[in-house]
Amino acid sequence: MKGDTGMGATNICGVIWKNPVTTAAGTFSYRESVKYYDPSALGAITTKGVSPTPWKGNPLPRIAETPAGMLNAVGLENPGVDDYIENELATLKKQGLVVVANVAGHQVEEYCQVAEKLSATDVDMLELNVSCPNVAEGGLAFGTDPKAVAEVVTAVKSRTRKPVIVKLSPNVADVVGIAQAAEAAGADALSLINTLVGMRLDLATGRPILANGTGGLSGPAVKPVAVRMVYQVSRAVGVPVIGMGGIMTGEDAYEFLLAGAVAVAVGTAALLDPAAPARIVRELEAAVEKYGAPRRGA
Amino acid sequence: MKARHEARIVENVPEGAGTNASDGMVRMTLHAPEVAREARPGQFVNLYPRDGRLLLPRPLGIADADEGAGTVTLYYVVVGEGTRALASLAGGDRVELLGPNGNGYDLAAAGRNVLLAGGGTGLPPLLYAAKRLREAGAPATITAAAGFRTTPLLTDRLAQSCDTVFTVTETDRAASVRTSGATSEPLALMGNVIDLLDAVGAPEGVTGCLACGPAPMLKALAAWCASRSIPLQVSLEARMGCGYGACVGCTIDTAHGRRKICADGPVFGAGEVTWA
Ligand SMILES: Cc1cc2nc3c(=O)[nH]c(=O)nc-3n(C[C@H](O)[C@H](O)[C@H](O)COP(=O)(O)OP(=O)(O)OC[C@H]3O[C@@H](n4cnc5c(N)ncnc54)[C@H](O)[C@@H]3O)c2cc1C
Ligand SMILES: Cc1cc2nc3c(=O)[nH]c(=O)nc-3n(C[C@H](O)[C@H](O)[C@H](O)COP(=O)(O)O)c2cc1C
Ligand code: FES
Repeated sequence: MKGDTGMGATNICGVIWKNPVTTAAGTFSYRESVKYYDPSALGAITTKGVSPTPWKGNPLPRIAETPAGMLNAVGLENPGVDDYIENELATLKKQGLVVVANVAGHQVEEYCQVAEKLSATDVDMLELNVSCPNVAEGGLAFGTDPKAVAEVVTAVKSRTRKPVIVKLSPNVADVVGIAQAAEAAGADALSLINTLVGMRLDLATGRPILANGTGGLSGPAVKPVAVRMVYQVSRAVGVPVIGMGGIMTGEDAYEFLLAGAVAVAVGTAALLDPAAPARIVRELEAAVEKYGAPRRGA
Repeated sequence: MKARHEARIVENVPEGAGTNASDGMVRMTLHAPEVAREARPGQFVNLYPRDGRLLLPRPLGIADADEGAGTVTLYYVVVGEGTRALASLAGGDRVELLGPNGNGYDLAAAGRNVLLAGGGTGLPPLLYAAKRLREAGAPATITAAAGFRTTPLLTDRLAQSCDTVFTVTETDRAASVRTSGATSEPLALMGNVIDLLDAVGAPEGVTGCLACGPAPMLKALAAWCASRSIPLQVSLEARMGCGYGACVGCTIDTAHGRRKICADGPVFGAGEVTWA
């Protein structure tokens, strides 16, 4: 089967992915990325954060380079859930893809509104972004407090029957505590990590390069942090964990599976090489052949 | 399918007399047949420095493409780590690239009497536009106005495809000239492209303007052209995370809603851009 990693299909909360590789939210374009690879090579397509109404995001510049990584402060610019359902989701579902919709909001009620609208569609899963560092309210504010995470997860779960993945922030002292709070509130799966809050200054002006001041760090620079968090969280919860953060190759992906993830997402790598997600599926297959089916270390 | 791929560097040499790669402009010619076949003026390529620290694309405007030879030519100024790494490469080395990216200028819409307006590193795409306009044979005249902070770059190359090239710098009155064919005459001007255009006036019967340069220049030029009813196409710039439309790092407001500079642009009608 095309896209088969040699590990068979992966069942995540009752949804069958034909292999354990998806796109990381915010790094796939249904119009542009598909010019570089066939998205049906992946287990699932995870789309960019979508809010109840269109969001304009942050002013430019939104991107800055850092050693072996990048900072972004896009601020969840998106056309809103209605436009998403009519255009992006419809296009992807017409191609028979498994689609995970990344959900954003400023308040609990906004997450719920998006979840409710998506419930009436053929989207396969929801991923709650309670960990975006680039919006003033909501996002990260929820993801750093176990009580707030529990509140938003409970509320969303009461308004949708779709499987709900909760996306965790690395910008916390105790990621396991947050993960357990999300699981207790009804999360069907967890995904991590979102970006790490960072900053770069312009040497000539002394001011931050990003118009937003801070941004989210992603790419190979964050991988060891991500592997560590996936390792800790997957041992502390019973629900499936989707791992991401700096995956550039199939061997990187394999490392996340060893750490305890049942699936992985490719983000920054796809910005640098548009076909990276499909390449990583093939490389992961080779890694499995070389090292065997991933066994979780002791 | 289009893909990020390796290309052989044919040549990577300092451009302009008395400059060296570390502080001047570099001309890079790449053997990239697929890019050369598709390239339109106003499009760009992503170059990726061969350095594990530097991951992001360096977008560079296509300054020439030769389908027969399978080559693409770029001109870049060494401004930071990435362009420095690129400048250290030599003919025979390989570099990774993705392209051609973006939409490019609509040359037909520019009409028969075209004004090209460029500032600084905005010149490269105009070189290619001038060449294609000349090859197409349609334009009656091509006039270029080029502005620089200190040192004129590429104006001699521009003059090869243009009827007239006006050059101005912000620091040297003696550097301002009007070039037509082999003849140059001093203009005795100092300032930016708009100052230059104010001084020499719009070319007679101008049907359209193609521009590339820093945002403040393009904004001022938009007003200048609008007040003279000259249709203007501008090529915009932004820090890019992907350069092909996936990261939403480069969007602007337009009359048709949010648009990505890298994928929907970099060329926009000046009238559709919401100028900040
Ligand atoms: C569509 C487009 C076409 C361009 N064409 C040319 C050209 O033909 N010739 C030329 O000399 N320059 C051109 N530039 C600007 C060129 O991309 C930058 O000068 C270059 O990326 C700087 O890289 P660096 O690593 O040396 O600088 P650094 O400042 O070290 O780069 C750090 C990061 O910022 C980005 N960056 C820095 N300056 C710019 C800039 N002005 N615009 C966009 N990104 C920037 C870099 O790509 C990199 O990701 C173009 C830019 C765009 C958007
Ligand atoms: C440009 C960009 C946009 C992103 N947008 C979102 C988003 O909309 N929702 C979300 O949950 N995460 C978003 N992320 C985070 C990624 O999905 C991912 O968690 C993170 O980048 C780490 O993975 P990576 O190193 O492979 O990129 C974004 C990341 C980047 C670089
Ligand atoms: S630079 Fe990524 S969308 Fe334009």
